[in-house]
Amino acid sequence: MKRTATVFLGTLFLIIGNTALPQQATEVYIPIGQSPGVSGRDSIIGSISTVDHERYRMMISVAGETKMVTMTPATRYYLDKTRARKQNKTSSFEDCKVGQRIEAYVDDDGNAVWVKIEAPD
Amino acid sequence: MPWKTRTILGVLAATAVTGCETLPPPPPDVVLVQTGEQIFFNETFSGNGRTCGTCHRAEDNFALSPAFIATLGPDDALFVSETNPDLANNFENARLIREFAMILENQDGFDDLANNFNMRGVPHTLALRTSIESAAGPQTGWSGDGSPGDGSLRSFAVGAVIQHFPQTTNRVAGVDFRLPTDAELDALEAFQLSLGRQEELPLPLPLKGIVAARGQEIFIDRAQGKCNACHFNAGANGDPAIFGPTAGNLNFNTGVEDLPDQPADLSGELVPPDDGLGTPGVGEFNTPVLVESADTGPFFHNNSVETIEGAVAFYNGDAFNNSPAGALLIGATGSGINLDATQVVAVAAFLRVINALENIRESDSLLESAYPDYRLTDTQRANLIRRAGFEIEDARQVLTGAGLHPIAAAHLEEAQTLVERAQASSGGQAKRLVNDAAAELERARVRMVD
Repeated sequence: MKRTATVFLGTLFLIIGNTALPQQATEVYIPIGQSPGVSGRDSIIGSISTVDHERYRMMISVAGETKMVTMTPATRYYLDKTRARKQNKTSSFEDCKVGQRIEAYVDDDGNAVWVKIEAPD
Repeated sequence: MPWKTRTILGVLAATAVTGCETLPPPPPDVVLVQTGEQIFFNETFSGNGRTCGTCHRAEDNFALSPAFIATLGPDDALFVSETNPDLANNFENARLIREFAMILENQDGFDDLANNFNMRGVPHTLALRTSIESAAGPQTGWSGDGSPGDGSLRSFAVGAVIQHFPQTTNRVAGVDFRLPTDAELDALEAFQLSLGRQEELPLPLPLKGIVAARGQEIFIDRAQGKCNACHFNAGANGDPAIFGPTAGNLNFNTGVEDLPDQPADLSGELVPPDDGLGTPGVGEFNTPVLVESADTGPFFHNNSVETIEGAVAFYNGDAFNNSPAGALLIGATGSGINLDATQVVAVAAFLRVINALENIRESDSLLESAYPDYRLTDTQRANLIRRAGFEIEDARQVLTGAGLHPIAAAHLEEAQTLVERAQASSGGQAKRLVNDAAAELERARVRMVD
């Protein structure tokens, strides 16, 4: 019985590794700057100054400073049309253009979890 | 000015004006909860008319069951897809709401509304303070990923408004709904955290009923029920001795999706497989609390099992024992879960009794809160007494549903009568009736536990 319990303990320890995830689906409908607990804390809001399509990264101008953000295969892209009172859409890296307003939620390594780009009027 | 100073000055001022003593206003944390309650039940966020309380009904343990839905009128905001032409398609399935209390969720995205959705039950919002923390972060909703933004309970309302409150499926912020403000999110979080149990139960309890006491033994036994490993203290967290001291709430694939003959599937309606945590999902769902389970069925994320006995029996079946979680358990202990009918009923009896004890604790707390040492409005007091009445009725039903503790059930019935009389009374008479009801609750409690 003691041995069984020990094995039980040891094996179940292995499954710890779950990662809590925020919900991804509804994020698309949250306008730039309004993601709860993220905007203003863990995100960069500015305008795109350069886009490097080969290296999947871009520079974002924020109040006179420039910050680099790197995309990963897991990065999600949202097209924010809220100001035009139209429906937001999922998007892609190819839609990121110089001059666009952007919010990038970056992890501790500087990789983008998601980016929201404002659609041109 | 500090709150205490302000309160004392306020009391002095009021006394000077009226010449008699008056109660101070509630402390700030109570005001925040009261504000959250008002938002939870009344705020539509400029959407389709729904509120948080449309699906998380106070009368139904902040959840939603088919039996309760049957009592609602046709114009209830729950049925907005039947009354708002803009929401007639791809927003809800009216038949699945009415028959099985299942709500449509676009957990994996909104790009294909006709085909890409999940049908899920409404989880209650009780004991959240004990159940959503994990080493990996907060776990909200059925699959742990119910909240946008930072994934916290505070942020949950934002996703809920977008999913369930819009005027059209375009879901444009500022047009189809408005997003909650930071202050509203703070208040909603405070209110939700205030609901129900604030601490874990300390198992084993000195239960007096022999069947429930045996059920508790089976529940805890690592060679028999094995329940306590993942539902430590009948809560939602992993046993810290097994999973580590900070593991908290965990996600598992227990095979619920593989259950045969699920009611919603039998309906012939389109019910796509639910892939759980993540987008796309990995098939895992987070562990729910059990203390509050017996009066919050149907069970599991897809409302696939109606009774608590059936929910316990699920762990005997192929769906669980062939699942990743079942395989893990078999690998770790040498066997799956294999309880006979008497043992299933005993574990369920244990869950019914601890649920009834929690109902009693909560109703007693609500009745006590109705007469605090600060000022309440008549409406606030009436709401607290009303909610206590719901809890008492639940306790009685949970026990009588399995023939448990008939004398305790009789005391609960008397307490319920007293609460109803208190609701129809006022002033000192109402307070006396509330005190009498609390005494009946205590008589019921001591019948079940030392």
